[in-house]
Amino acid sequence: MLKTKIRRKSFASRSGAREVLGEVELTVPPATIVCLYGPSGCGKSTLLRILAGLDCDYEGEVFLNGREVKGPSRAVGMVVQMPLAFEWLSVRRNLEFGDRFASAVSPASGEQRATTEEMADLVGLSAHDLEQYPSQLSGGMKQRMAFARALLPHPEVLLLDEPFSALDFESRQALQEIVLTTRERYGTSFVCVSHDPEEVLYLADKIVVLSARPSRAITQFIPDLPAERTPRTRYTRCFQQAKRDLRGWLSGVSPGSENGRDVSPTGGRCRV
Amino acid sequence: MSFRTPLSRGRYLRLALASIASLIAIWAVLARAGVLSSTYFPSPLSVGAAAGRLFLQQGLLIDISASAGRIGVAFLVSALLGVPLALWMSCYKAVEAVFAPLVDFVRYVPVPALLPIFVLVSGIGEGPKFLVLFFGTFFQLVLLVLDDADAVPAVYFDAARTMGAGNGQLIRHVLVPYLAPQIYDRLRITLGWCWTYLVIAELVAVNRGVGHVIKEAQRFNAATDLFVSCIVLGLIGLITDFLIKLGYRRFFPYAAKSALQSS
Repeated sequence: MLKTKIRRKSFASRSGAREVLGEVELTVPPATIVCLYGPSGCGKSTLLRILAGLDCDYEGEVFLNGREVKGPSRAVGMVVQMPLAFEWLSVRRNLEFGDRFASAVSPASGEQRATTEEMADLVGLSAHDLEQYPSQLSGGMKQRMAFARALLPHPEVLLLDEPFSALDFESRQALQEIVLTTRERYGTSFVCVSHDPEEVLYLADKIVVLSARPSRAITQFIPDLPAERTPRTRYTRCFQQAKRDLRGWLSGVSPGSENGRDVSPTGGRCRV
Repeated sequence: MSFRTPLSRGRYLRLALASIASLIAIWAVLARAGVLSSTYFPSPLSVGAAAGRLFLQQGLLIDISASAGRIGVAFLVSALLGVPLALWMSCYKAVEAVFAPLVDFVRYVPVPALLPIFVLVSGIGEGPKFLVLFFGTFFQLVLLVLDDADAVPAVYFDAARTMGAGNGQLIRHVLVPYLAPQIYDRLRITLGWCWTYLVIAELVAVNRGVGHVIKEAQRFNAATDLFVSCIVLGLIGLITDFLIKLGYRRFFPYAAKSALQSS
């Protein structure tokens, strides 16, 4: 379980300290997908870097299973927007990249090989793809590779920093399905940053809406949608309504906070 | 001709050869017509004859190998010190703060102006030649590699750190392999600069070397020898560059593939 309470995060600038994050409290239970939804430049990526232990210069704390996160570790992985590839390594060696930093696993062991192939299979990389260089793959395939590489150390939480935004519609949908499958199969938790309401609603077990900079959590809620998402879910009336409501949060209309209570934007009216 | 469309290797080679042949033909015609003074601008034939004499009777090959040896040593030391220093500076800003002012300062001092100091410090043996070639490349190389290293996107290091990499592993497994093709290319460029400093390096008390041949040709007003030396230097540059480019494809097939795909 990942728990965090950020009180303030600011960057030094010529005109003094510039606050990028205000109060943000977040709990990510095991096998849960939490989506951070907010306008561009609101500090979502900064928050993810804090959760990953890559930025420790903030006021607040982050705990993973009761232990304070004081630096990056294999327990919290990250996939970024740019399809990141270690171009000098084959796709297979890209996937196994993290093994060289783990003491207990030998990259050449048979067990490890099976895991590499298992992950490749999960994200849809063929045996032929594994022997290619990343420069020979499309952007979508590279992002699948980056996703599998981040999963191979078996992180408890995988942070996704708009990982689908640079992809075409089909690749985006395919990767979203992979996220859901991974959660089911390995019990991995996800914290996903996005400003695409459809993506947020499709993936999220819990949505945290962030305000513009300095960012703070406006509200958190569990979307009132069927727990099991299928591609059909996107086309249901309540999904479309939830999308409109979610957009409303960013334009100042807060459909779900009637009477000061944080509830689903659809107010519990939606049943599919 | 289509805009930025790649040519086949054969066509590229034919055009390159035709360009060189045309240049020589124009040169020959102008020399024969008496447009160019044979004292200052000898004909291709007399330059060819001088080349034969220099190679067969005066041991130009020994001069070339003497120059290549000087360049080899100076360039190797320059690369072995410059590349790690640049990477170190890029990784640790305190190291950059210590060395950057010195590198920038020396980079702007013209190397020929330092020659008298080099002679005073290291005598008239191989010392000043080495120092000219070293100073001509080391500081430039540090700056080029430092700029490249600073431009490596932070997300690569972040990704490796979330997989458990420590500082040393980031350098070994991310920074160095990421930069390797660029460092290789920077070495190619600075090697070219090293050859341009050769004539200055061989100004002082040299018995053998291409720079020495040029100096002697100037002294005795032997334009043909001057032409031969310059052509030899140009050819050495062309061949070296070609071989290094071949090596690039061999050592960095992923980068070559990427370049081919993007072209």
